[in-house]
Amino acid sequence: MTTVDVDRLVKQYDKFVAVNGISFTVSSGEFFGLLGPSGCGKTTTLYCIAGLETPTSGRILFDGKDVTGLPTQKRNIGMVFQSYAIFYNMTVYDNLAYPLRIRRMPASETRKKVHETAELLGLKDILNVKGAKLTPAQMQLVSLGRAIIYDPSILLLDEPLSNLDPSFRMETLRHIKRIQRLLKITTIFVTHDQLEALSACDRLGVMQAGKMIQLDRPEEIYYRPATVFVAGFVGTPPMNLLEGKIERMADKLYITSPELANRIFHPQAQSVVEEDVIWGFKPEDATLSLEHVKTADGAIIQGRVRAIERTAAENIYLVDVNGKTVKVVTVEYIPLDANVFIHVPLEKIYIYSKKTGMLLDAPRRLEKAV
Amino acid sequence: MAGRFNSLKRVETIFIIPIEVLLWGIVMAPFILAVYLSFTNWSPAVSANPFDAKWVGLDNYVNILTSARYLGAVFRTTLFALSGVAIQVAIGLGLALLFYYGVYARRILSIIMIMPMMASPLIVALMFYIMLFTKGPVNAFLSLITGQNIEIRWLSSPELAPVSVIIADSWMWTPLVFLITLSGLSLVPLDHIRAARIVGASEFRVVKDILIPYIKPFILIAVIIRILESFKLFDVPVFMTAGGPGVATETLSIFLYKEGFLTLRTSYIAAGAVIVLLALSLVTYFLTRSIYARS
Amino acid sequence: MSRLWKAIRTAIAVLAAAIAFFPIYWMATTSFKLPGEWSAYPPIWFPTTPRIENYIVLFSEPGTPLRESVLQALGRGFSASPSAVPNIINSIIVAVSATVGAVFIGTLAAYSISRYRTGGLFTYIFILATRMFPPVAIAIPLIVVYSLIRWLDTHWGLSLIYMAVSVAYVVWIMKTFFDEIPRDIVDSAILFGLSHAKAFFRIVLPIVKNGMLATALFTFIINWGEYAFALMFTVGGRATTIPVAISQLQLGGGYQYGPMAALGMIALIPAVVFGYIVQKYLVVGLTLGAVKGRR
Repeated sequence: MTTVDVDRLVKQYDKFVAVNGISFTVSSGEFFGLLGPSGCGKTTTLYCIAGLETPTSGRILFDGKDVTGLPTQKRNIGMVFQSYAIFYNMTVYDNLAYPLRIRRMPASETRKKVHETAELLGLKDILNVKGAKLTPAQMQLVSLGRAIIYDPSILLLDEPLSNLDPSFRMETLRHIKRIQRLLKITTIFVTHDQLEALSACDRLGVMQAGKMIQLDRPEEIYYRPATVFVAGFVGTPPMNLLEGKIERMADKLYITSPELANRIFHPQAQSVVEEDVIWGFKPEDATLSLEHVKTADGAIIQGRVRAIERTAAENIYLVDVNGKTVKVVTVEYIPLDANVFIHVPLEKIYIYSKKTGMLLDAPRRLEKAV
Repeated sequence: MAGRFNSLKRVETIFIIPIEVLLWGIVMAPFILAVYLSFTNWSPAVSANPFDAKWVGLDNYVNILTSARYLGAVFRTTLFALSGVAIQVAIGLGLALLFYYGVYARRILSIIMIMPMMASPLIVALMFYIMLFTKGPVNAFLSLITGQNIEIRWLSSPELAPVSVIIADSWMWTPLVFLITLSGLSLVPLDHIRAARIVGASEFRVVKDILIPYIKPFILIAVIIRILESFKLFDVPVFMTAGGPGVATETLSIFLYKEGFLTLRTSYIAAGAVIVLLALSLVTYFLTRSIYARS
Repeated sequence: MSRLWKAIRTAIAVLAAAIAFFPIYWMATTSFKLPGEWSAYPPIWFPTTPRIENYIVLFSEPGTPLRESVLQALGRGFSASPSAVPNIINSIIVAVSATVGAVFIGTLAAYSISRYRTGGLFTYIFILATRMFPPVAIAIPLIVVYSLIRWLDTHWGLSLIYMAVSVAYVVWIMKTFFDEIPRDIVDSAILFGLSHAKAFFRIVLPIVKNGMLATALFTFIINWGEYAFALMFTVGGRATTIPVAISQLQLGGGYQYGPMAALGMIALIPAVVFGYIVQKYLVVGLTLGAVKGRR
């Protein structure tokens, strides 16, 4: 299968710079993700790889060969669109057969391949249904089938799950992953949903405003978000982020913050040069208690429970602290309106520079078993 | 609640009354009178009172349906309608595709392109009339580019007069087809076009397999409108060639007019008009039903 | 490479635009030429000294000094040509009144049909079908009636006919506009205590204001250029409209191309105004603007 290289890609429309110089490589057979909020340039990047847009500057390479000037038709890629783009007038059979007919495959071979692909995706029963009459979930599978039926070397997915009912999404994602592993096809998956990206991708790139912020495996992105933006973007719910200062007291440096009931003596604070920081912790790393916690280690925050979101496995507590909302995830039961103390162990605290947003220190997470 | 109901009935009925009065008075009542006349032998040359005439049953219908001139006019009008529409669709679609894929100076060009639609048929006839003289600008231009002395008798030769009429009519109405088709094209989902390209379709196939099928309903509307209106073709052939030379450009409307007004064979003409109307009404009914069901 | 294709497409579009424009251009230049130049061969493509005598003939009465002043250039054949001013006035009166009437009646009917499906499918089809009647069919009996009540050759009489003939388009277009308005808007107005009629005039009409304007302009163009009925009902009379006047210039003394072209140019004025308004607010933006951002 094929490797994809994106080399210093820039795409500009008049005055608006959609993609501002990004580079990455997708290895053969890898399931690679581009994650970011709307307008960050991920879809534009995908379109440049597909040949649907021409880069302003930079190159796209397939297996080392420069394809930047190559028209879409000749790139031998498969693509699934957010809107499915199933041809209305044609039946499922004709939709699947279309790429093969373009390649002048004999009818008997075409029939064989269509049935194979339909079998693979569970579409055998609807082969004669007209495109316009399918449900969204069916359309997406047909779209996937059409994309792979001619054995392309690369598969591109543009927010394939976003138009689906939430109840269908995970199942469709499983289909996609299963197919991808089976065919060992190099895949690039664009989404704004961090849960999808983190659960499905081998590696992913987080984009913001046309730039690549962090390019890593999902675990790295989840446990070591490189910037404040990434920290606040990933995670369900995402990291709690609060402003703080590093102060010197008695020859040691502490983190202080309006929300803190104490000062954090953070060993790493000694090596941090900046004074204004943004510090944070993941909601699932904190504990709640009704009494003041006696340990001096870590952060203690006092607040009032203003809302509770209950899910099957756990509770998300929204705690009002000085007008800000801090979220804590825990299985314990705390009543609404209670005054609580949030305790964050020292080793679960992240520190970011306020000025640059970059990660200054993160918990030594990876040495422990996840 | 009862008061509400009354007001409902009132509005919907009152709003429809003016148009019913207008149409029944100006269109239907005369038409019914015409139908009556078609069964008589009345002519204003004989008597001023239509009800003086004698009943002759289907005589007029038989006469007109066996009249070579009438049948010729029917055939000719159908030919004009179909060939005109074919040209309008072919060129209109082609131009729409051109603009869809993009041209420079799009705004100015499109404004100029829809100008012909704005003129009335008689003015169009006038324009082509002064253009198509044997010693006129069209022939002069052709002479210029071929280097030979072109003296095509556009308006006075029986073979070419119909062509001239079709050209003038198509010149006027192609912009309409162009606009309707372009509207249709703008509604084709871009993702479908992209998907076709991704799976390897050449641009030609994209047009054939995606664009044209998706705009078929629009083209159909344009075709229906144009065919039905073409059957009333009158102004252009009358002005350009007076229905001639001979009967070369005599459309149904011209035939009916000449026989009805100039030779006053009124009831005969009434029969002819009734036949045309029946045919067109049936066609309109079936075609419009499918469009109405969708709205 | 794609820029080259765009240039090629533009070239073809320019060719089409030239074909669209030339007849208008030719008529315009003819209107500014003197008799010797009308049928000059090779043709005078661009008159270097435009003359306005053709227009003056149209706007002057025979025997007046103004008329005498142009006869030298145009020849004494024009000494008796009547002024075209009454024709222009007639056209304005008839077209404006017919348009106002048709838009008013048609809009009411369209609302009734759109919201209440009044009269069902039959009524709707019936209205649209009235466009399909060949003018001669209804003209013959109508002339009889008109001559009896002495409406022949009157503004009002002709205007009424125009209303009947053009109201179908008004209904067709306005119905589509009304179909787009959600029922909730009217229903909530009624809940507030407005009667159905008030709800229509105060709430619904302002929404379709632009649509009505476009429809009115479109209807005006149709009525302004109408020829067949005008020919049959007003020939030689006091209510003769512009199209008939143009054809009379053709018949009487023949070959008066200059003044014909001048009158034709005048006839184009509403079309130009319409085109300008359309270009500014409606069609061009809708269909052609929506297509940008394509590859």
